[in-house]
Amino acid sequence: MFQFEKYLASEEYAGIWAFLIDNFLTGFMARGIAVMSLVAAFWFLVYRRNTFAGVVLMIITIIVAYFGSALKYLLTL
Amino acid sequence: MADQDKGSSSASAVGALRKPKGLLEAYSEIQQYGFVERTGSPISEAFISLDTRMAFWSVGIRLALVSGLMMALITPLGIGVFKEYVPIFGSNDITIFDKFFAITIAVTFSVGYGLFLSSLGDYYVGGVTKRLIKSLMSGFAAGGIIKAGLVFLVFHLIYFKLLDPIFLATTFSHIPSISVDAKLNLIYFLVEFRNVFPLSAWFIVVTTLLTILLPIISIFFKARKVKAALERKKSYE
Repeated sequence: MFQFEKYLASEEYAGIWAFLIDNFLTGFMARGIAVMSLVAAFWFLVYRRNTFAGVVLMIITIIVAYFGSALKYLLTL
Repeated sequence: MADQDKGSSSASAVGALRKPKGLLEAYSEIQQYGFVERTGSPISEAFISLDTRMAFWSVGIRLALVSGLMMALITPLGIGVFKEYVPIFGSNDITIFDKFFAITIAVTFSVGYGLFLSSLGDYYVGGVTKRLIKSLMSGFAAGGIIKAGLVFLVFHLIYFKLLDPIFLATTFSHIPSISVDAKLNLIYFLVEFRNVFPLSAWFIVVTTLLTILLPIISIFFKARKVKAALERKKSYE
């Protein structure tokens, strides 16, 4: 059986998530990424008529916008 | 009779109509036949079989239902951000930009598809393309109405029943694994968040009507432009 904690301590794992949340899912960086992926989603969906790329970029936008808050809340539980 | 022969020879030049499985296939079929009808002779509507019409109709209905599902998931969050119940970008300090952005995310999917369908007006030329576009758009409209009705019912059910404070308190009292503080925090959040659902339901109804009407109006005006351009071209010849 694969033992996850043998390779990565739980504090270290929580640290990785904290780093990701602080750097990519909150503040200016998150807003920048979300705006770019939303514009790209729209461009793919309407101009390039590539539904798959449009939907994937929309999902990325939603994750960047809302997951930071959700993960922060879960980490405080 | 001669016209019909001409029509069927043009149709055979493109090949038999395929039944589309998705929007892109349906769009490509319309593009192909639009090109043939614009440059060659118009093909009779009788060329389209009932099952092909149904296939286009079902593509339209699926498109509306899928975009509706996405919208139903995102809109309460967007309205929640707008009313400052839901944090966005990991922060509770919600700016005007954040509110605008949350609403934009909520409508992007439907507006995107609406604009995509609006471009069909360029091919609204002959009998076949007109019939195919009408089938696709009537499916899209039917799906939009079904979606709006379902979302309206479900959101009101959530507001009146599932997120009712007494119902929430009773439900959470049966969960022993969460601390009382966490339970209370969650209940307070949900009781505030429930106010988002009636507004979201009406928001979806209005945006659905717009996403159905805008492509139809756009196709109508584009088709008139294309028709006028073709008539001008004919008169020069």
